[in-house]
Amino acid sequence: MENNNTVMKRILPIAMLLLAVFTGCMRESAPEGALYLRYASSPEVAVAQVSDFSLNDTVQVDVVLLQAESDEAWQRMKEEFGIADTSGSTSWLGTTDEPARRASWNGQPLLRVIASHEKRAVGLYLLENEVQYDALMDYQLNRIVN
Amino acid sequence: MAMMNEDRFEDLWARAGASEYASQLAAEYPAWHARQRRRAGMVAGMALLLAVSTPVFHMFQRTGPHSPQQHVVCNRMDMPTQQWVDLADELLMTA
Repeated sequence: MENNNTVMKRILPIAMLLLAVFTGCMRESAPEGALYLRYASSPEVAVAQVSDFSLNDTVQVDVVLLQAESDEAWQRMKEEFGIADTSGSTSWLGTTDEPARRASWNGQPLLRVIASHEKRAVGLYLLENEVQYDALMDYQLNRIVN
Repeated sequence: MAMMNEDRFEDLWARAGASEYASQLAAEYPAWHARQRRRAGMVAGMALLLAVSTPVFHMFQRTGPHSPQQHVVCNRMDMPTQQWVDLADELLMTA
């Protein structure tokens, strides 16, 4: 009994310590997604992946952002994504395989693609379910209204 | 009275057959054992505090567009991560 007690006293702190470290590590790990890796080596384009971008207290989405660092790079991005030469921003739903291809929400994972001429940037918001789809719409509405 | 430690305990324990060492062991052991238990308790307490506080800290972290929960990877080392979070937010306003 005494032996079991001693073993528990020694093992329990170590187990708890490992649990704490594991929990901490789990929160920090966010591997680069396929979408980020697809664009990360594009010349003259700064690319970032924002994991768990919060839309509200309970819903997060992953976002890949592309920002052209030159006029030439922005021109290439416009051609690749089929962005018209109009001022302001354009937005559409694209497929995860081909973000440029316009699609309709059908319950399958899609991308909300937003292109801004002013910022020479394209944002790809990964929507994996209807909850994220609705939360993104609410987020946009709230940001515009407020 | 000599200070009890692991080596002395082993030494006294080995010699405990002789009565004078047995009495020394009996005299020194309780205080030493109590110290050991206190030390083990403190380590267990610290580990428990850490184990509980880490998940709780993450659970109650601030959420929202600038939440520190967001993790950013970028192909440009010199660009601040917050800039990307802001850009993700700003693009949603422009669409």
